[in-house]
Amino acid sequence: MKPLLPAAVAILVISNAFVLAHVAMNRSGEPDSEIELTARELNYFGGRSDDSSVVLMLRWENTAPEYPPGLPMDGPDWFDQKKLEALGFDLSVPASSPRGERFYGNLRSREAFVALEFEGPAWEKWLAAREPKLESETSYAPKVTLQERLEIERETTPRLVAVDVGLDAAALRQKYPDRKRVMILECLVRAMLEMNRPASAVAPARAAFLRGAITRLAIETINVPEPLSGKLREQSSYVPWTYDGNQVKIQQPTFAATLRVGSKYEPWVTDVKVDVKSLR
Amino acid sequence: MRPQERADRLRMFQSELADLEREGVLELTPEQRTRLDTHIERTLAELASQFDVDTTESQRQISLGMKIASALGGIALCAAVALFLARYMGYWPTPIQVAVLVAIPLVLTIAAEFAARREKTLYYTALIGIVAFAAFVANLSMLGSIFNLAPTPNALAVWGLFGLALAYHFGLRLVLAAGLVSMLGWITATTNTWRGWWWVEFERRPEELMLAGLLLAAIPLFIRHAKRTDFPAVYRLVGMIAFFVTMLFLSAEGQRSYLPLQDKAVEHFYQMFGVVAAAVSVWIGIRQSWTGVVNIGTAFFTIFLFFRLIDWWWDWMPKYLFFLLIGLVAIGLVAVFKRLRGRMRLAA
Repeated sequence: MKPLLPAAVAILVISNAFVLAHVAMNRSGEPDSEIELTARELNYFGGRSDDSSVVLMLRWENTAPEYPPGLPMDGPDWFDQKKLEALGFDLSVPASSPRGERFYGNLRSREAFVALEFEGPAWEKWLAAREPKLESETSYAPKVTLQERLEIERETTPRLVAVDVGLDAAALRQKYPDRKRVMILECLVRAMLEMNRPASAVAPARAAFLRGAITRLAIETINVPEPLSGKLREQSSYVPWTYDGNQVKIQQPTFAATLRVGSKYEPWVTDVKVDVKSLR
Repeated sequence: MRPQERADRLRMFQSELADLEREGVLELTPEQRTRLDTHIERTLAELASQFDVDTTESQRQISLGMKIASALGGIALCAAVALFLARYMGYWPTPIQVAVLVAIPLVLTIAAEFAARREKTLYYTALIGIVAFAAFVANLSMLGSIFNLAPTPNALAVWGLFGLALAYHFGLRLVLAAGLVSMLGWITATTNTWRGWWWVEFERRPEELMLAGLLLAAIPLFIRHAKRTDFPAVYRLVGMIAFFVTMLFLSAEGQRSYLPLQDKAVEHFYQMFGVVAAAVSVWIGIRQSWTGVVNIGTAFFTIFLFFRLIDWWWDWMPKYLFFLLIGLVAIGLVAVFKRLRGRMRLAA
C-alpha cells in the first residue's frame, strides 16, 4: 500500500475526530446560557417527504438591521461608529467623502458575537418603538384595530432582542451576566454608510453617517436530534394569529424547546415540550 | 510515456508505413516487414495484457464511452448517497448518524483501493473515488448540521487534501479537479479570515481568487509530474478557469476591484486585459503544446469579445445586423487562426 492511501484515511479519521472533540468541548462543563424558547422564537416549518431532519429556525428582533424598514434613519442607534471601530472595521474614509459609497459598499462582513436578551427591557423597548408604526403597518388587514395589533405583537412576536455586539464573547458575558436571560451567539456584522439627506418639507437636512448592522447569525437553523425530534415531527407550522374578517384569534405557541449554548457559543436543543397549555 | 500513448504511436506508425509503401516512398524487404509487424503486434499485445490499453480505433471509442458513463455514474451515485441520507438520517439516533457518515467515505476509499487492484483501466476506481470524495464532503457538512456548528473554511482544506491524496494515489483526474477546486476555495477564504472578514464573502473582492487561479495553473512549472503526466493539464484547467471567470466578473462589476480607479475604468481595464490575457494564453498554449490552455484561451477570447460586442452594439443596432456582425467577426477569427496555423507550419 502506497503512503497516500493511509494519508487519505488519516485525513478522514482525524478531521472527524476533530469535529467530535470540538462538539464535546462545546457541550461539556457549564453552559454559557440556557433558555426555554417557544414556537415564537423557534420556527418549525413542518417535515418534508424527502428530508427527515427536524430543524428549527431561530427568530429574533434585529435592532440594527442592514435595511431598516420605514423612513430613513436620522442617526445611528446603539450600533454606532465607535462600536464599528471597536469591532476592527477600517473607517478611514469619512462618511461624507465621495469615495465613501464605493469604499463602504465593498467592505466585507466581520465575525462578531451578539447578545440576545430574552423578554427583558429591550423587548419592552422594542414593543414601545413598534407602537407608533402599527397604525400604518400594511401586513395587517385594515379592519384589525390598533389594540388588536398591539396584542398580536405582544403575544406572538419573538422576544429575543439584539442588545449588543462585540469581538470578545467573554467580555459580553461579563456585561450581561444573566445566563437565563441573555444568549450570546456568533453573528456577522457590516458597516453601513447612510448618505447625506437634503432638507425637504417633511424632514430637515442630515449629514452622512456610518452605522453598524447585524446581517445574520452564524448559526440560524438548529437541528433537533432523536428522540426529541419525534415530538415535533407531527406538528404543523405555527400560525401565530388568524383573522376571520371580524375577529382576531391569537394562537398559543404549540411547543417549547430548551436551547443551551455551550463554551464555543454553539447552541443545541436539550428538551422539547408539546401540548403545554401555559406556553406563551 | 504512458502505455496508451505508446500504443497510439505504434498504431499511427503502422498506418503511416502502409501509406509510404503504397506511395512507393519506402519499401521494406519481406523479411524486414515480417520482423517489424511481429514486433509491433507483440508490443501491442503486451501493452493490452499489461495495461489494458486500446489497440484499435473502435476500442478507443468504446473506452471514451466508458469514461463518460463512469463520470456520469459517479455523479448520479453522489446524488443517490446524499438524497438517501437526507431521506432517512433524521430518524436515527445521533451516534448512528455519526457512525454512518464516517463509515461511508471510509468504506468507499477502501473499495476504491480494492477495485484499483483488480482493474488496469480504473473505470470503477474513478467512479468509486469521486463518490468517496462527495461522501466525505457530505460527511463533514452533515456533521456540521447535526451539531449546529458554525461553517468554517478549514473544511475546504480538509476536502482538498483528501481529494489530492485520492487523486495522486489512484491517478484520478476528476477527483484531482474536485480537490483543487476545494483548495482554491480554501486559499481565497483564508486570506479573507486573516483580515478578520467573513470567509464566504470573497465575491466582494474577487481578485484574490484570480491570483490563486494563476498560482494554481503555475504549480506544474515548479512541481514535476514524472509519473502522473496527465495531472499538470488539470492544474492548468482549474487555475485558468478560476482566473478568467473572475476577470469576466470584474469586467462587469468594477466596484469590486482593489484597483484605485473609477468603476468604469476598472471594467474597461479588465475587458481589455481579459482579451489580451486570453490571446497570450493561446500563444503560450501553442508554444508549449498545452492543448487545454489553447482551448480555454480561445473560449474566453471569444466570450470576452462577444460580451464587448453586446456592450457596444446591442442597444443601438438592429438585431439582424448585430448577429450578421457577430458572424463576420467569427469568420474573421477563423481567417486569423488559419493564417496563424499556416505561419506555424512554415516555421516548423
